[in-house]
Amino acid sequence: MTYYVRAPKDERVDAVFSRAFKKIGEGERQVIYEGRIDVEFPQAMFGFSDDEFRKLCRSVRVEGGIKRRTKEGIRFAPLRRKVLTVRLSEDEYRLLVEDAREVGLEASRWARNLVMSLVEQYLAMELKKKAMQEIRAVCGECKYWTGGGCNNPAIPRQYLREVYSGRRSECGYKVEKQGANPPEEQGRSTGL
Amino acid sequence: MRVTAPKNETFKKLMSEVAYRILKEDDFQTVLEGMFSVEVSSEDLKMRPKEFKRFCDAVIVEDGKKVRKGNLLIIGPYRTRQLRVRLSDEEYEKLKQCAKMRMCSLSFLFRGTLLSAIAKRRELW
Repeated sequence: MTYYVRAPKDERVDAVFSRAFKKIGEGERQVIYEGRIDVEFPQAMFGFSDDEFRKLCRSVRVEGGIKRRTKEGIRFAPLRRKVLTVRLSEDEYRLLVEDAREVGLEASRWARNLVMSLVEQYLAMELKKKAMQEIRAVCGECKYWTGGGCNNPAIPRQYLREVYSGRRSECGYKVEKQGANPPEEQGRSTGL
Repeated sequence: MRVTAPKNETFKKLMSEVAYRILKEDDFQTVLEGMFSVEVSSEDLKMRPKEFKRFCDAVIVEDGKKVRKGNLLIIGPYRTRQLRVRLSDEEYEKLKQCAKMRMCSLSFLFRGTLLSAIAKRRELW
């Protein structure tokens, strides 16, 4: 979920915030950044004294997210309104807490990070699988397709490269140059 | 969680795959100890329905529960702890999408993914 951070205009702040946030607006006194994930900036990164850092923390405004002063610096995170309750056995909970302690996080935060990274991987794989099915549907029975062989704009290039890289075209026409349009009479489907 | 079951090599093998260790074994029964939930079907054990029912009746679970649903035996620990996880709208939607694909509930997906990740991390499986 996107959140917006309004920070006072300062070169040092900009140098740090630009590493994790996208700058989307700039005024005379303020700069607006866009963030998506949990980020923590240690005080040392800014090169501020304690007073300067305290002032910065107070002046920063966050919309759609939260800011929290931590021992080492300042943490930004998107708003998390939904609550999911999961039942665990004593042993399962003990394992989770031990693992979370190892990495220095709370159990629920560690669990969320672990599960969400796997869920995102799974969804990306599913998306890729779907794209591959679409490629097969468009390319018909052509098994050996060169990277530059298919000119259908609906097909993402990276998938073609992964599957058909280094193979010669056996699909009935050869592409002279990468990016050249296939002749119409070949009957290539562009149904997507 | 302690599981006492009639001696069966396939059952023993299945249980060892989910990190159960053998505590005691004699000619008639095996005592296993572990912490994760297990699902065993009659097909896994290559048993006929009546034989499978007799096997399920003979299984004793300490500090946990067993449930037989048709040809499926579910052995699991008592889940007395509650973990509350806060999610953003985007994270919730992703989880929901994934749960829909796998045809299960959000909490079931979350717990399953979490436990398998922990077990893998500790090289239990």
